[in-house]
Amino acid sequence: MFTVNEDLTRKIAHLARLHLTEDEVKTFTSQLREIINYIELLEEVNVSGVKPLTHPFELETPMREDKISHYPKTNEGKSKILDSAPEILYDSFKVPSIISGE
Amino acid sequence: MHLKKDLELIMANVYEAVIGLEVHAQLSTETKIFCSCQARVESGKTEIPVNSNTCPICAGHPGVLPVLNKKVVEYAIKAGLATGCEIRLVNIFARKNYFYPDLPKGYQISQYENPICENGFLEITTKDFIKKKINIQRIHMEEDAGKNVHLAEFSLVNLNRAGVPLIEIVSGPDMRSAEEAGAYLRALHAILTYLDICDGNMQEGNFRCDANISIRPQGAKEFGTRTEIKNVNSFRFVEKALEYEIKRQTDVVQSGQKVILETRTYDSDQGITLPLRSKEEAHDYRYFPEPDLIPLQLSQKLVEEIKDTLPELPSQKKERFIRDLGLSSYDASVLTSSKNLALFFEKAVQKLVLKGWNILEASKPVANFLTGEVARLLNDENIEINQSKLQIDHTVDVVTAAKDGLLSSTGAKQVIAMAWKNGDSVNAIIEREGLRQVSDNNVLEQIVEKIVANYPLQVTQYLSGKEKILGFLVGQAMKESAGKANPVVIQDLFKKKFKGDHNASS
Repeated sequence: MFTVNEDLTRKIAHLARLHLTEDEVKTFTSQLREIINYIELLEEVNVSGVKPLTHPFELETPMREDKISHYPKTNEGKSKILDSAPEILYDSFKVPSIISGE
Repeated sequence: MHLKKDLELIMANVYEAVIGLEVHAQLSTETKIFCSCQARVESGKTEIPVNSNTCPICAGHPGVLPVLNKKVVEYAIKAGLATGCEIRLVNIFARKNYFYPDLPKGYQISQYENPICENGFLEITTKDFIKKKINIQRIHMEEDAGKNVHLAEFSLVNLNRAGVPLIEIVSGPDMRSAEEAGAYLRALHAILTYLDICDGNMQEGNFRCDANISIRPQGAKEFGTRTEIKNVNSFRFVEKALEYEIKRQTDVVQSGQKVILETRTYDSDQGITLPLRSKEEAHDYRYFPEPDLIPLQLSQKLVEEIKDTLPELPSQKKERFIRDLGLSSYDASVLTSSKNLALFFEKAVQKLVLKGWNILEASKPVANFLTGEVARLLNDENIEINQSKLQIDHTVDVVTAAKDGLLSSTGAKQVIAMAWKNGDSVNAIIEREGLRQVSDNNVLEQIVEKIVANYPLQVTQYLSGKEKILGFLVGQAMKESAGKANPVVIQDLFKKKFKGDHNASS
């Protein structure tokens, strides 16, 4: 088992790319500990012989036929998906530099 | 060459390499794995406009739901059946979490604990004709990421590739040399292209390979620390990268240092591997079951139905070529190593059969051309036969001309090489290059007379029983004809002449 401490909170925050203040680290560490403790109650249940459940409904996933259907295009023939981008350049989504500063 | 020699010495004595490969193969479905956007870009077609094949699902907008493409499941099952895998009937998908701009959802939908195919194998044949079984641990379905273009101040993201279906095929750590790894990749590539589930173009990223490699003392049980070589885009480069890496790791260990667990990239210009800038933390993907997809339930009946649709696979085709067409194991291996080459061969033979040839008589010379001169050219240029200018008719016409005595074997090779370059017809090349083999007795008799007159000593030797000298005389005659004479006819003419002279003088 692992211990819920401030380092763990910082690690999880980093994985989620969240920036926490030191006060927040303290708050969330105690909240995380409470949540984990609560979930650990499940450890008391005897699950021997019970199959793992990944989804509560006994359904089959529906499947699609392999047929193309294009998302609407703008008058200039470009995908409307670009309309929702904060910044576009050469029809690409413009994002902060990935390589430098790494 | 030096590297190779060094390697052989090192490996023979002290260390052995342990190689496992992960292949990502793009499935050639029309649409993406979880949405109806176009997925497939036909080979050689100009790149489709940036971000034109995108929708809220593959762009990862909030609130959208993935719907699985039936064909992806069918193709994954095909890959599993063709490699002797067990097919799992209840499949769940998993989220693999990481942040990168080409992954708009912040996670990739993949499979983790329970892949659709497990415990398969494929058989490779090494250069020394030794057969070896390579285990396939698993094949799972997942989605591809988009593409980033990195500029100085910012990066640009194109999501056309995001959501293109992939299967990841993971081998066991079963290969012991770069050559075995190359053989495995070629065999796997052939199977996927025969199944027609992957376009297989490595340059275009349809078939991508990551290699895990470590070395250990001969006979050791534990594995050494491995490195991973990412995204090498040709079979040959994979082999070269692995050869380099074996040598590098051996040098590291022999100088008393330790191999570092890291990801490396292959620089094909320098022929070396280089460390990729490693990310600070180890990967922590936090896999968990994908809540947006209900478990996929398959029936054994569906699996059986798919099994019935499997085409003839490379190994089966190879056996048939040996059994029914009388080809050597080597010729059959080379021809079936690529679906395109095998089809080319079969069509050429078929054309000759339609012209009245016996199928065995047709197979042998066509196989000779394709596994000899043509295989060499394909290898030099690293292309598939359908990417070359050589047509089936070229092969048919050359084989026919050779049989009719119009082309010598050297001439035939020259014609193939020229057809390869410019695609001209065989007849046009023969006439233009003056390659027509002279079988006309009148012309050839004159040459024979001339040689007999020029080499009286050798003629006497022949007549006194030294029959081997005939080869020399035929050679001189060939030279005299500038290589155009039909050597079989020349030899007959010499024999006839000497027999006549002999009879006349006795």
